[in-house]
Amino acid sequence: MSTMNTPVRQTRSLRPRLGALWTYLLAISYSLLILVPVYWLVRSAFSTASQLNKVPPIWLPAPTLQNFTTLITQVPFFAYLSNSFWFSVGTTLASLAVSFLAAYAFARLEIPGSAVLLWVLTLSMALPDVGTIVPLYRILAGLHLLDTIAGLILVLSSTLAPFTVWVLVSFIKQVPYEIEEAARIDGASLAQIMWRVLLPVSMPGLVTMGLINFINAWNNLLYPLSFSTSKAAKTLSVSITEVFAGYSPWGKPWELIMAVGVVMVAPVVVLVLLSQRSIVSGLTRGAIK
Amino acid sequence: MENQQSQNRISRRQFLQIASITAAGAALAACAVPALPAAPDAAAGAASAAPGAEVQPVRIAVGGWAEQGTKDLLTNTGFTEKTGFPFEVMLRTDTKETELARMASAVQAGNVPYDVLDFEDELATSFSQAGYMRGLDDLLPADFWAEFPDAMVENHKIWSTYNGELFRVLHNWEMPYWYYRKDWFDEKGVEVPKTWDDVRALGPVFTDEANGVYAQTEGMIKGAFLNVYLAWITLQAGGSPFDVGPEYETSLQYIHDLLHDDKVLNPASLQKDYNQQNADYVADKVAFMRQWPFFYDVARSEDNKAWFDESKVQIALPPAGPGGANMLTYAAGWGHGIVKTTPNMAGAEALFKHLIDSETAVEAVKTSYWFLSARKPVLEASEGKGVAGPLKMYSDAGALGVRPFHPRFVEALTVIEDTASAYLTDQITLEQSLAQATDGLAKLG
Repeated sequence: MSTMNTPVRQTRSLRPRLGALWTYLLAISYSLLILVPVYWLVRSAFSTASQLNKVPPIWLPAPTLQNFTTLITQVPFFAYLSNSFWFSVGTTLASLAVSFLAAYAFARLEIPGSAVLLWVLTLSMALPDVGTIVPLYRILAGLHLLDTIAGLILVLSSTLAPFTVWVLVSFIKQVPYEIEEAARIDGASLAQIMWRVLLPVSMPGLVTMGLINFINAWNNLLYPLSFSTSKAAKTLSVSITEVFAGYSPWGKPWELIMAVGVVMVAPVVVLVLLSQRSIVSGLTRGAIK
Repeated sequence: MENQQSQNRISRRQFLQIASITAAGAALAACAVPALPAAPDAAAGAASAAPGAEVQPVRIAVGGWAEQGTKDLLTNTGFTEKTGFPFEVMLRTDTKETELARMASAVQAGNVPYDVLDFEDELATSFSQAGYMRGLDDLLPADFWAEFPDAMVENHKIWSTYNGELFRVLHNWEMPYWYYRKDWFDEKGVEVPKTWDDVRALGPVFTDEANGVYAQTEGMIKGAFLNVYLAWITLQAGGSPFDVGPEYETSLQYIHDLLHDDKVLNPASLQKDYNQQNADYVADKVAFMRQWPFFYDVARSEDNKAWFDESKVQIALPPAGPGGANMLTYAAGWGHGIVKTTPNMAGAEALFKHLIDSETAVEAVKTSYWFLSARKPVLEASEGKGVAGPLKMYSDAGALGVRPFHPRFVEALTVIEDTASAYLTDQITLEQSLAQATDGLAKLG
């Protein structure tokens, strides 16, 4: 009896281990698949032009910073970097500020037609960005905000607001109203309630949306491309369309484009890593009703 | 709970007050973000407006590769001193799609991102037909075309004229050259091919598939590269791919043979762009190829210093097809035009006239080869240096045809590329490819 049971026990104890092994193998394979383009981006950014197209490929070239120095000389790199920063931070803050207030109104106030209004707002996300370019151009020209960071912030924050509002409404709805009531009984004004009570408890949602909006702005090409003509307002994403190989338009300077890619990806990766906990918490809370 | 909420809810007035104050604050904060002031352009700074008059600088957009050359040119030729207009050299983007996005939004809103633009053939058809560019005939001197060879005049008529009105004047005139490894040809004791049939015979001479060496390589990936090669070959056959005529059929069959039967052309060419094509050449994997003049510089670059030798990068006339010796290659060009909606038309006109002036054109080619063309005084001034030598050789040989044109060039090239690549990769037959191309082009009107 005991001799017959032994292999069965072994099979049972091995099965979960094998399952775990497969899970790990699958996870590792998938991670590698995801990381290959990132590796290729970094590898190309630190390669010379001639190393880039070698067959068979050079997997680990001797790294060079030449592409980054070339980048600095070809385009006003630091001005573009600074513009990207202010554009992204400004857009994030403006979209969050406006959306938070709007979301509070949608979540807490019973205004006739507010549900329809929220749907209309949400539907506006379906409008392709490129279809709004001409009217937006006219508006910015009328406001004398063409070729300015302020103009770009105004446009993109208004574009991002509908989705931000939509997400934040569900966050605010989950905050027990009793907390606000308690604050009110303690004598807090509405501003104090929003600033000291609602804002802290909504922080995971705000951080998540802030990050998403920041990345959206940081990577945005269409608006800086269409509304900016000088280094006063062009961003890093535009520099991808301006770098060049040699003294003609024929070749594509992939090594420089990849260098811009590295500069653009690095801050996003750092930001995501720093706010990973808030993002996970924000996404999971937003998913529960 | 619902009732409690209703009772304790803030009033709408309260909410609106706070909301409007915060929103106004956010908007003001956004507007307060300082737009970084543009550093004064060195060249523009040197210019001075006419005393007492408030003159807007005239803005010219060029690719990054031409930025410094254009600044130097306008400074050296005293544009501001001569006209009273300061100038600003701005960067345009490097692709037709991105530049179209920028220009379309501005022009349709009645504005302009810049007054004068340096632009290529691909954008020429889109911009002219959209009505973005100003007619230029009234700005040309009476004897203007006398300085241009027939091939350039003809090219202007087809590629830079719309509804009988000129909208662009070329300053850059480049053609695909036929580069070959003279050292390899000498070693093998074979002559440079003069005809398509000669090319077919070179497969067994140079191709060594095991070592990845082919007689010929091309950049034929879809996305305009394949179209350029198809246009080049079909021109040699005496036609245009956009006609989908017998010349095009002959050309497709010829390319297919080079790829699959004659073992001349590397089949991987269908996945290569110009960078990869050049890389093949400098990796000693190819005996000859068609390429734009920029390979002339790539071969001589610091990166390839150890590899380069004059005998490795010789230029000869391309092998002739059924079209004959006067249809060996075509030239493509970049030129200047004025955006119709510019608020600074006087400045734009002054700059355009200055740029097309014969003396400026001669000075330009001394400043940068970006301004090299077959315009007679320009070619003389270049003294055959650099790629001016091959340009003169090709011009003197009368080898230039006109680049195959389609009024809806960008859409048409997509049709041609899709149908041709399907045949060249053996997914469909030649007859099917031609039928689909005819059908696709017919739909464009």
